[in-house]
Amino acid sequence: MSGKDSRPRPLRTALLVLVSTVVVVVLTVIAPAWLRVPAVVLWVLLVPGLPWAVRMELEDRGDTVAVAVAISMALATVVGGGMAALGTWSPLAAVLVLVLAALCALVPGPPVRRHHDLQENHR
Amino acid sequence: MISPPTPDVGHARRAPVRADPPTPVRVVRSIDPVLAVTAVALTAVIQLWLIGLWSADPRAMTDLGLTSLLGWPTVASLLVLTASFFFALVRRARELVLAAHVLTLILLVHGTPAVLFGTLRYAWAWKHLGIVDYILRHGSVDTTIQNLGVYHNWPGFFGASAFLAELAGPENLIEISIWAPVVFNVANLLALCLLFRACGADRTRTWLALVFFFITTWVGQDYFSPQALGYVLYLVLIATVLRSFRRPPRLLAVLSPTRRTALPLALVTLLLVAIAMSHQITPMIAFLSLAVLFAFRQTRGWYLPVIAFVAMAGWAWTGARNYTLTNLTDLLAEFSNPVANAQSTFDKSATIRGAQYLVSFAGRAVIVIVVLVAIVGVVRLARRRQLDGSVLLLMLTPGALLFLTAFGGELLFRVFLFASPFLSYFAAAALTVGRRPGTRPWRVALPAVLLTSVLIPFFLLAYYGKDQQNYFTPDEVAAAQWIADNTVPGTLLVRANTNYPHDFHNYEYVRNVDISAEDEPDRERILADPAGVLSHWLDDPDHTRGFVLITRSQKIENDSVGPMPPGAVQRIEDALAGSALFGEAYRNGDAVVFVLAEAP
Repeated sequence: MSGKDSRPRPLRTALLVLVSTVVVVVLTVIAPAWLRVPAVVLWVLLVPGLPWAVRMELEDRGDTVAVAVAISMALATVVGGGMAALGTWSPLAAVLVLVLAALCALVPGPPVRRHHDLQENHR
Repeated sequence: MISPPTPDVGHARRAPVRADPPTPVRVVRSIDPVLAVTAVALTAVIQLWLIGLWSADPRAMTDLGLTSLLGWPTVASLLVLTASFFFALVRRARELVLAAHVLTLILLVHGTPAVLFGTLRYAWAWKHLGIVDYILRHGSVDTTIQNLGVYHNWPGFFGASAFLAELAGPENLIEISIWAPVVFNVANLLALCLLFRACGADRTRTWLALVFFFITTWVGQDYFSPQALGYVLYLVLIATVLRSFRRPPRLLAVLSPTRRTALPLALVTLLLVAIAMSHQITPMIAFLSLAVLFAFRQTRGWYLPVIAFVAMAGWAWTGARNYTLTNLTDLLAEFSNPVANAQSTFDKSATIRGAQYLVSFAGRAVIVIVVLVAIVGVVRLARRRQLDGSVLLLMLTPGALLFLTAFGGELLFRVFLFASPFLSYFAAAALTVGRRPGTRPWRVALPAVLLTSVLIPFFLLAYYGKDQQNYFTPDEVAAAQWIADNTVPGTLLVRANTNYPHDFHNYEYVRNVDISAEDEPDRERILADPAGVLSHWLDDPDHTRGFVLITRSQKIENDSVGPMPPGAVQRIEDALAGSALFGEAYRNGDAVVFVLAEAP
């Protein structure tokens, strides 16, 4: 739950997203259920939200994972529910949308002001 | 630990010119005693739990549910887990060590039904699979459908599950749903850590509150369901708002620069939209919480409750328009009727029998205990001027739901569920507030150990107490699968009640009629002449096929909670089996499917 924070490394995060996506897609084709199911669940629950959670620069790794899981769940809900509601069902398109949503977090933006930075300002 | 030798400075000064090469210092790292105790304890905990349930047969459950299968090894397992956790807490172990204890608790409590039963628990969870199955077959939902239309109108969770099933393999969906309670509770653990820290809790209060949460929240909304998803998202939503939008004290507000809130705001918006697409009641509580926090000047950003309202109302009037318009009268009837809405929850338990009284008592006892201890926490914090108004408001706000909806007679459970994190926070505060720097850690731990030891038995009874009804045997699943495989559009399915693995495949083909849902005079008419009345129903030419399904779990539910007299479902089965009007289309040890006998 604890751990030192690390500044976001966009290239590393992008690689993680892309490589994990390729691995999971390959596993969905060739892997047995005992490997495929946990890999897919882990990917859907973690990867799409991870770059955004890392970008938020939270002070605790556990908190980063919590936010990554919540964002991933929310993205899967919006994408999956949206496809079902609109009648545009396409799992492959959904994977691409989730990967794109994840990679959008790597676009450079203004730095996040952290809680302890604010405390420094107050002193 | 072997310390490196201290250099003898005086001797070195007198040393001869020839100097030996420095001897490499061998440092042997000692094992952290807390880590060692934890490793041994958790191994013992898991082994004792396994020994206790190794030869347990879920069929042997009494009307105390899974609790009736827990023997002394499982009790010993929980005692060791409790002792080890508090030992780690007072010895200030790393948070990963504390997390390992809570994860073990989650795995034991929520993983046991998955392993022991081997089939999906809860009839409702099977129904949710049916919506996912519908999306997988049709590629969309049908918001105008009559049967289970509410799920088609709030499809977020089902769409996400269907997407997951497409990747993991649709044949693995049941296995995924069996393990959903473990996954959702681990997600709750992560979200609650974030939330309690955002509430300002220190390490001890955070982990005490986490333990209290997981041994008091017995309402069982963590299964494969939209509310389980909505709950995780709600916890992270509130944590994000408290972290990023909390109103600073006046002086600090003057000094502090404007905080960047674009990312947290985007996160809050995403979470609110996902919640609004998935569930009916969670968006209400999210909106109420954000509105109350802003109204009482706890958080900045008038736009937060506005976004919550727009997401909730926007989905209700667009994606869920068909359901909202059709049910508007019912929704308005429940509005501003708190007594009737609360009473609807108590009405549900009015027909319980036997040991279910004890289960119901245990659930209420847990709530009363945690509420009382939380009140002590609030008072102690207030006396020391440490009371966080945000947390207090978040604990009280779910009560406002009583003015909005009855939610199918489950509202009080939901009120407790949404108040539970904050009740746990204040309960933990009751035991930790006002500690002086020199206070011995055991003075905090001992009352906590006592409270935990009192709560765990009540919690287990309340959480597992209905598992005799919630467990379905493989034979029952096979019978339900036979029904699903043999239905065609226009099929009539008569069943004693809904407590069996129902509606999980091809569900839209079937018109379900539950004997338990009939008015009392009609039920009495059926019990007086089951074969005569039911053959008349099945003979209706409006239906292409007709089945009567009787299962073991239908009988158990009726005998436990009614509404028909105990043994009534068995009497119906016996009457149909002995009638020339009916034949058996399918039978196994735990279920039978009747059809009309063909005319000679």
